[in-house]
Order: sequence, then structure tokens, then C-alpha cells
Amino acid sequence: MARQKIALALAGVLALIFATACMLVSTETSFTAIHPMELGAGRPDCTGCHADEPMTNHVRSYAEFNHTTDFINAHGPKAVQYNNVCASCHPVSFCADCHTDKTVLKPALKQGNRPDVISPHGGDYITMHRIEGKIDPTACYKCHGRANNDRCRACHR
Amino acid sequence: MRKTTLLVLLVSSASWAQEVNVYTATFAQYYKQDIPGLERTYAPLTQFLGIDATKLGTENFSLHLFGWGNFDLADQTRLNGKTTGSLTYGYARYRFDRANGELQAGRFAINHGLGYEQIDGVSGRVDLKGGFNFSAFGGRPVYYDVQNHDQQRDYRWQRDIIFGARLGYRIAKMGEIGVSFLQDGTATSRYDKYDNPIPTDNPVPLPQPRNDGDFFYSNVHDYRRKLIGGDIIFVPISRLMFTGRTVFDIADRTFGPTDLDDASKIAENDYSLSYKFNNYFSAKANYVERNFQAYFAGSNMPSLFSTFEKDKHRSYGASVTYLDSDDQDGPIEITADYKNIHRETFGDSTRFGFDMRMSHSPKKFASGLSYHRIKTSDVVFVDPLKPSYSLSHHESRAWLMYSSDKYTASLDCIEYDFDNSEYSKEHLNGQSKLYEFIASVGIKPAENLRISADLAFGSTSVAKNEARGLLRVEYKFGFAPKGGK
Ligand code: HEC
Ligand code: HEC
Ligand code: HEC
Ligand code: HEC
Ligand code: HEC
Repeated sequence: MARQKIALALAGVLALIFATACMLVSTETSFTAIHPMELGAGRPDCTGCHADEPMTNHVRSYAEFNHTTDFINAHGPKAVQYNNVCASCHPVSFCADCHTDKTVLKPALKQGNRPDVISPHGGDYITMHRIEGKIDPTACYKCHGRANNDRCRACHR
Repeated sequence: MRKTTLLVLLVSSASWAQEVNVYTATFAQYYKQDIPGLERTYAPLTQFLGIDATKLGTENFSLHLFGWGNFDLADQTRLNGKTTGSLTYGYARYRFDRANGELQAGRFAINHGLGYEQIDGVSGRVDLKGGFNFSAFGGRPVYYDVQNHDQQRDYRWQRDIIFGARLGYRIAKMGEIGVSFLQDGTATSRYDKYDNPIPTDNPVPLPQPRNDGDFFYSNVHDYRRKLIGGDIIFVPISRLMFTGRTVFDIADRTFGPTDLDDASKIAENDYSLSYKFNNYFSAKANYVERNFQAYFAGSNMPSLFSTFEKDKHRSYGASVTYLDSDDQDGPIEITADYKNIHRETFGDSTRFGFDMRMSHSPKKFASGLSYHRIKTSDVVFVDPLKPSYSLSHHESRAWLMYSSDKYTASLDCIEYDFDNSEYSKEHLNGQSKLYEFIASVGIKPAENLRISADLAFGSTSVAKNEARGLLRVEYKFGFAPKGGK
């Protein structure tokens, strides 16, 4: 019942959006679908190749996407707002190594030949997670709270 | 069944695509654990397969598929049996030439707004006039399904539907602000301890939930996850960047335990400010707050992530980075960081140290060095002989990597050194140090083929010695252009 109502409300909202959308939609060209040049391994320094200016068809500048340690460690907010920028270089499978409901290899193991990339849970994490998990379990909830916890259930309920 | 249909559909339709990229990776592992009084051997084989088919009929239509299978050749390493697998995603996508318009249908992960959710459904996004943009998604959530649903009380209510939307407003040169909404599940669970439904108009006051060994029984609880949030990226001048978000839990938890009545409805506050002093130096400060009962909106591991806990996380941290990207040999980056983490039921912890990474002789060699000190509060025990122990430790890591057109090689060593001998005796087989060492060599026999082998050994809390071998074969072929990795 409630479900039907919600589905109905959702459909209504969507219909409304579509109706008004046609008038409201921006006429600007979309951001590039695929980065024109294939980049090799290693964190890219955008301003090594591009000037420090706004990107074509985007309000943000190239410099803001330089893959510095800060950028990598806090990529979440930028991924939310500028996901079309990330998608021009990264296939979804790249993100799925760490972000998915069910993974099979610990990122640090999958990327054992790439010590230069961030891989959550390097070293003996079965031991170390007790400490990190105790210090802050909220940091784990994002990835393990509702999914990807096949492995945890051997010891946790 | 539906998965198979989707798979067949995707694979067959890929054949009329003009551009197809296929990625396969095979991982064969073999490892031995030397557990006191026991020796265990594992041999899992893992296969990944990804297909991206673009230009299906029109320039803008594409299909994407990714999944894996795991087979155990020796002992069982997984709970679910010898053979497991999963379709990570499989969806069709249409991209519009204007307004960053995009439509997706199938199984995919969505992160436009709150959370990072995997769904079977549809999503869309579009830029509007005047700087606005809008995205929305809806469908069924893809959750890890446990065999025993008793241990995942929220299962049946959360499974039914998930939907969300985000409205963003982009201010030229300044940044973007957005508001988002997410709801997961539509019904409140009203079940008693024996899983019998309680009528909605039950006049009897409901008892407090209680901890019954391994499950917190709640007679009635609103397991719906309903969140609204606001996010911001503000860049008034190119040196200064402010990012953050606030998320509120707006599910009606009137039937929850009464001692949570006054608990905060703020699920999360996460804010960062970074500033670039000049071409070399930059600094960053970060503040995070999370209230457990609002943040943990349901879990299939309630003992770890309980919505009945009035616990709180609060952390602040800062870092300073030196980056020389124009160095003749390659970039050098050094970061010093400090973080204070407070958990109400545990106490304060601090983490501080540095990270250093370098490239040498134009990108052929790269290396990194890091050290961190982690000081934690003591874990308090009821045992009078061992009233408490400390989890404080030192963490050090060093790595080195070589890559040329044909070969790659790397070494990675990570070590943990514990302060407390009591903890070591109880939890670490008497060892006061744990380490892991990984060596890897690789070869690229052809443009699209990479083969690498890792050899790792170390000591863990379970096994004094553990050795692991891993063979990785990655093969890519296709005709479509690729942007990155
Ligand atoms: C190795 C050099 C190199 C690096 C590093 C690099 N790019 Fe590019 N990029 C190019 C080339 C070459 C082009 C195509 C020529 C052009 O349009 O300027 C391009 C084009 C683009 C375009 C399309 C521009 C247009 O006018 O359509 C965008 C957007 C872009 N790059 C973003 C980035 C971002 C963001 C980064 C950093 C994460 C980055 N690039 C890193 C070389 C590079
Ligand atoms: C090596 C592992 C790894 C990879 C690869 C990775 N991420 Fe993340 N991601 C993380 C971690 C760890 C966090 C949590 C950081 C934190 O707690 O703030 C995170 C956080 C996020 C968040 C914020 C989620 C939330 O609810 O707060 C988003 C969005 C995100 N990543 C998107 C992406 C995208 C898009 C990609 C692919 C381009 C990607 N990530 C690739 C590890 C990874
Ligand atoms: C111009 C292309 C380009 C764009 C745009 C881009 N990336 Fe990347 N990114 C790369 C490349 C190339 C690598 C290095 C991959 C490797 O080393 O194998 C990388 C690496 C990463 C990594 C892993 C870094 C590490 O070394 O541990 C993360 C996480 C990531 N990107 C996230 C993002 C997010 C989030 C966005 C969007 C906000 C984004 N990227 C946009 C090209 C890009
Ligand atoms: C960005 C997502 C992400 C975050 C955040 C995250 N994990 Fe994980 N974790 C993973 C992935 C992916 C795996 C691999 C799963 C597998 O092997 O089945 C994993 C594996 C693990 C494992 C198994 C390790 C092993 O050696 O088998 C443990 C234990 C673990 N995580 C605990 C934690 C704890 C505790 C936290 C919080 C401090 C946390 N994780 C945060 C993604 C994450
Ligand atoms: C081999 C058994 C084992 C596995 C597998 C395991 N854990 Fe743990 N975990 C433990 C032990 C033991 C503790 C310490 C319990 C304590 O100190 O009360 C712990 C503690 C934790 C804590 C801290 C709890 C707290 O509030 O103090 C978190 C969070 C956690 N684990 C998450 C995970 C996640 C997520 C996974 C799966 C990805 C996982 N664990 C897999 C054994 C395990």
C-alpha cells in the first residue's frame, strides 16, 4: 500500500520533472565522454599537460583534479559532484574494486603489484582491523555495514 | 535466472556494438598458514570479466558488464561454499550530447548524493538552466543476502525499494551546493521476538529492546533508512577549497528505545578546508562527527553496527603537504598528518606521522616511505588480573617499484610494532611485532597482456608464519578508446 503510494508519488515527480525539464534543460554541450588521450599508470598531474584554467564545458579547473595524495584520500566529495569528470577516465570497474556490495579480493591483494596505489587494508588486516574498527566503526559502515560482509560473518553477527 | 538472462542479453548485444573492450583477469592464489597445532592450505582461483560495448547503433548508447567468479581448489576459504560469484554491474547507458544528460538502467552502483548504493533499477541526471542540475535513481537495492534472515531483521523491509535524488546548484567560479534525499525500504518492522507480526494499533506499551546474547531484540523498530543531506564544494579563490556535507536521519523512530529519544538526528558532519600557500606547500584541516544510531541505519551485522547505540564519533585532523611536481627526476610529495579521534564509549585516539613518495629517473622507479604512531585509550576489561590493555602501536611502511615498457617489479614491507606485551601475549601469539612483506615481478609479453607473480610472507595474529603466492594474468582487448585505467 505504502509502496504503491511511493511508486505513484515517484512517477508523478518524474513526470513533472520531464514535463518541465524540456524547458529547463541547459543547452550547453556535455562534458567530454572519454579523455582524448590514454594515460598510463601512476597518479596523473593534470596541470603537467593542461594549463591551470577551467576545463572545457566545465566550471572547475584542471588543477582541482590533480591526483595528489590529498585528492586521493578525500576523493568522495568530488566524485559525488563531478562524477562525469571521473567517468571520462575511470571505468566503473576501477571504483568497484573498493566500492561494491560483494568483493572477492581485498584491494591490497588484488593490487599487490602496485604498492604506489591506495589499497585499504594493507598488511595483516584481520589483526589490525580490531584496532581501527574499535577506534572508529563508522568508517567501516560505508563499505561493510549493509553489504560486502560475507567474510566478516565468520566472526561477527 | 534474471542474472543469466541479463548476461546473455548483454553479451549478445555486444556483438553489434561498433566498439567493444573486454577485460579479463585471473588470480590464482596459494597460501599456507602455520597456526600452532594446525597447518592450513588454501588455493582459491578468481576470475574477473568486464565488457564495455560502446556505440550501439548510435554514438551515445553503451553497455557495461562486470562480474567475478571464485573457485576453491583446496580448503574452503569462503562461508558460502566452494564456488561463489557475483554480477557487480550490468547496465545500459545513454549519454546525451547536451546538458550532461544521462540515463542508466540495469544493475549499477550510484553515488550521486548520499551513500554509494548498488541497485537494480534506473537513474538519470541532467543539467538545467541557471546553474541547476538534477539526478534521481530508483530500484531495488542489491544486498548481501544471509541464509538466516533472523540475523538480518531488516532484510524484508529494506529489500523492497530504494530511491533518491539530488538537486545541485552550481555557482560560476565559486563551486556547488546540493541537497539530496535517500529512502530505503517502505515499511516499519513490527515483529516480536518470535517474529510474529504485532498489529499496528497495538495499545500495549512496548518493552525496551534487550541484548539477547548475539542479537539486540527490538519489538518494533523503524528500519527504514531515510536520509536528507546537503553537500558543498566552495572554491572562492583557486588556493582555497572548502568541501563538506551534513546528513540527517529523518526516519521516524518513535518506536525505538526511549533512551534514544534525545539522541542526535545528525547522522554525519564531514567538513574539510584546504589551502595552497604556493607552488610547493599546502595544508588541510578536517572535522568529522557521526552519531551511531542515526548513521547506522540498519545492518546485517547488528553486533557491530547497532542503531540502538547512543555512541558518537568525532574527529579532527590536519595535514601539511610539500609537493614538487616539477622536479627533474619526477615528483616528490611529503605529507605530515595529525588526527585526533574520539569515540564516546572508547575514548581518545591519536594518529600522527608522515608519508613520502617519490619518482626517480623519469617515472621508471617510484618509492614511498611512511611512519605513523597510533596512540589509543586502554581497552577496559572486566578481568581483574588483566584490567586493561593498550592497542597503541607504531606503523611503518616502505615500498619500491620499477616499471618499464616490458617489465615491472615491486617490493612492499609493512610492520606493526605494539607497545603492550599483555596484548601481544593474548592476541598476537606472543609476538610484539607483526609484519608483511610482498615482492612482485611482472612482464608484459604483448601490448594487452600482463602477467605478474607476488610472493608474500608475514606473521599474523592467527598464524605465526604465513606464506602466499599469487599469480595474476590480465588480458585486455578491444577497439574502443580508453581514457585512463
Ligand atoms: C599526459 C598528458 C595529460 C594529462 C596528465 C592529462 N591530460 Fe587531459 N588531455 C590531454 C590531451 C592530449 C588532450 C586532448 C587535447 C586537448 O583537447 O587539449 C586532453 C583533453 C582533456 C579534456 C578535454 C578538453 C576538451 O577541450 O575537450 C579534459 C576535460 C581533460 N583533458 C581533463 C584532464 C584532467 C582532469 C586531467 C587530470 C586528472 C588530465 N586531463 C590529465 C593530455 C593530458
Ligand atoms: C583503493 C580503493 C578505492 C578506490 C579504487 C576508489 N575509492 Fe572511493 N573511497 C575509498 C575509501 C577508503 C573511501 C572512504 C573515505 C572516507 O572515509 O572519507 C571512499 C569514499 C568514496 C565516496 C564517498 C562515499 C560516502 O558515502 O562518503 C565516493 C562517492 C567515492 N569514494 C567514489 C569513488 C569513485 C567514483 C571511484 C572511482 C573513480 C572510487 N571512489 C575509487 C576507496 C576507494
Ligand atoms: C584525465 C583522467 C582522469 C580523471 C578525469 C580522473 N582520474 Fe583518477 N586516475 C587517473 C589515472 C591515470 C590514475 C592512475 C591509475 C593507475 O595508477 O593505475 C588515477 C587514479 C585514481 C585513484 C587511485 C589513485 C592511487 O594512486 O591510489 C583514485 C581513487 C581516483 N583516480 C579517483 C578519481 C576520482 C574520484 C575522479 C573524479 C573526481 C578522478 N579520479 C578523475 C586518471 C583520471
Ligand atoms: C572503501 C571501502 C572500505 C572501507 C571504508 C572499509 N573496507 Fe574493509 N574491505 C573492503 C573490501 C573491498 C574488502 C575485501 C572484501 C573481501 O575480500 O571479501 C575488505 C576487507 C576487509 C576485511 C578482511 C581482510 C582480510 O584480510 O581478509 C576486514 C577485516 C575489513 N575489511 C575490516 C574493515 C574495517 C574494520 C573497516 C573500518 C575501519 C573497513 N574494513 C573499512 C572495503 C572497505
Ligand atoms: C577472524 C575473525 C574476524 C573476522 C573474519 C572479522 N573480524 Fe572484526 N573483529 C574480530 C575480533 C576478535 C575483534 C575484537 C573484538 C573486541 O575487541 O571486542 C573484532 C573487532 C571488530 C570491530 C570493532 C568492534 C568494536 O566496536 O569494538 C569492527 C568494526 C570489526 N571487527 C569489523 C569487521 C568487519 C567489517 C569484518 C569483515 C570485513 C570483520 N570485522 C571480520 C574478529 C574478526
